[in-house]
Amino acid sequence: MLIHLPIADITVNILTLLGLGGLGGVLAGMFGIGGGFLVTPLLMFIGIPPAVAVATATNQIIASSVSGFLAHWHRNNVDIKMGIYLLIGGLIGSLFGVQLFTKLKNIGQIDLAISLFYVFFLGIIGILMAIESGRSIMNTKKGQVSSSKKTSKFDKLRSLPYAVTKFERSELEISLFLPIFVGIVAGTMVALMGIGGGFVMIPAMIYILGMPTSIVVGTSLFQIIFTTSLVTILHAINTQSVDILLAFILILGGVIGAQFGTVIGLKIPAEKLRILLALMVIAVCVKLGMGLFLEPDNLFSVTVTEAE
Amino acid sequence: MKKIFLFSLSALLLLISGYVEARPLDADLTIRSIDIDHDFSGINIILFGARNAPGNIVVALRGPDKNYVVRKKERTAGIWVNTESTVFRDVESLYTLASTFDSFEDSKSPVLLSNMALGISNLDINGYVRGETPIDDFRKAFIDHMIDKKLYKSDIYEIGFWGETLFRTVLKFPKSISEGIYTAEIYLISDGELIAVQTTPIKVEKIGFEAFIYDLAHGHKLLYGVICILTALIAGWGASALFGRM
Repeated sequence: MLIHLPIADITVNILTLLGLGGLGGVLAGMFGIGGGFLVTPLLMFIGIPPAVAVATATNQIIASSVSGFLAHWHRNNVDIKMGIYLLIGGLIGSLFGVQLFTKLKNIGQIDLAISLFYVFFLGIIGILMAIESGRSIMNTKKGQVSSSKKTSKFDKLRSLPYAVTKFERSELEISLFLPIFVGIVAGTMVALMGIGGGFVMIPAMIYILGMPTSIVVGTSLFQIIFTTSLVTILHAINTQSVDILLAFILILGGVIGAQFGTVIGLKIPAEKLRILLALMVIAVCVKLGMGLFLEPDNLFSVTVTEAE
Repeated sequence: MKKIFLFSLSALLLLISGYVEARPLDADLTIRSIDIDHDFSGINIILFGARNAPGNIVVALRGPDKNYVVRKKERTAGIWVNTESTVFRDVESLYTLASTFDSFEDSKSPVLLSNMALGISNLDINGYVRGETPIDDFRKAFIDHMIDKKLYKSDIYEIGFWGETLFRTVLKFPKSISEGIYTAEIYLISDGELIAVQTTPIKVEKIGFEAFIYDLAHGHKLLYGVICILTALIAGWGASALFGRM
């Protein structure tokens, strides 16, 4: 069943889109991550303009974050105070990110920039995940329990003396500049890459801020709801690349996919799941990378511009 | 059948009116406005007319002017990057020709054709290139792109005649046309002289849900953004109410 997307301005099969949204949902259900970092490049592969893919994925993430957040909220797994400082950073980062995005779009480099960011981040994450899960599979075989990594590397940062604030829910006393800084990085990534930023923010919250693992996901989702909302508005105003119809279909697919993902996640052992995800991340990274290095069929590209 | 009947009837009326007023050129269209909806796949409009003086007919169909950026990629540090670019301002977004000339080379009126911007090579496609690539390369790339999108046509369509006076041709609007006012220009040219010209507008409009979304996104940006957010918030909340975690 073909459908024409009003903003992306291409005709695609609605089942393909539902499938992509579903894949994001499956990942969310299996791993508890947003899946934006796989869905956005896949949208680009089926012909959605990169700028539209990024802005629309941001819109879609609002939905998955809300339902994730509500689940954590009911279990009291959210540090609102920490979330607010992360959010302040997130808002600063996303304002900066959208400015950069708009500038890159105007000079015709946005498609390249998005691909480069993705190749870079997916490359790093894929490799780290592969190493990590390879190691934990080895450890399980040897019968060892992998030790907690929540140790000293970032202790110096954590004792940063400026504006030290008490975060009761996290049982921490740290400088509020730390969560603001983490938020800025995540917010910038939301704007430039159309991802929630959870996969950067969550490790940072655990290792840099030293938050208890049980509350990081809920707290990051709290922040993500607001940053993705702001970024959606900014994209709507600055770049007009949010496709509400595309977002809605992705959300619908995501809801269905998540139900399957949860079931699959319970059946397959965690290490194997992680290595599977790592392979997917690396495959997408390689495909995007090839697009950068292979000579394009046509060196010239034509776009309609409203700018004077 | 219906089309042929309509055509004959209109042609007959034209013929009569043409003789009464004795205008050198008279033409009309079967349709004057086009609605683009979600399954629009292009449309052909019949242009018919009468010439009451000897000469060649040229019919040009032009789409509303737009500005285009043409960019060229070059290998930089191993990857392909947009480097040089140019902007072509106020260029026809659709351009097709029909003519009784077999080819424009033997029309004996190059100056006239150039003045009237008839023929792709006579279109005013000019800009300043930031870089070393000649403007001609950008122009060629642009024209190739438009031909590829079926928005420009390098061949000249035929004009059919019934006797010496009545003529008809087809104006082809491809799938990818945009909104705006299009014009059909009909010229009567004899011995390099312009005898008569007539211009007829055709209104192209997007209709339906898609057009509504597009207009909202471009006309009411903030409101559109808020609607996007609310939709996602409600969908997310709804999903969690129905299924728990999403």
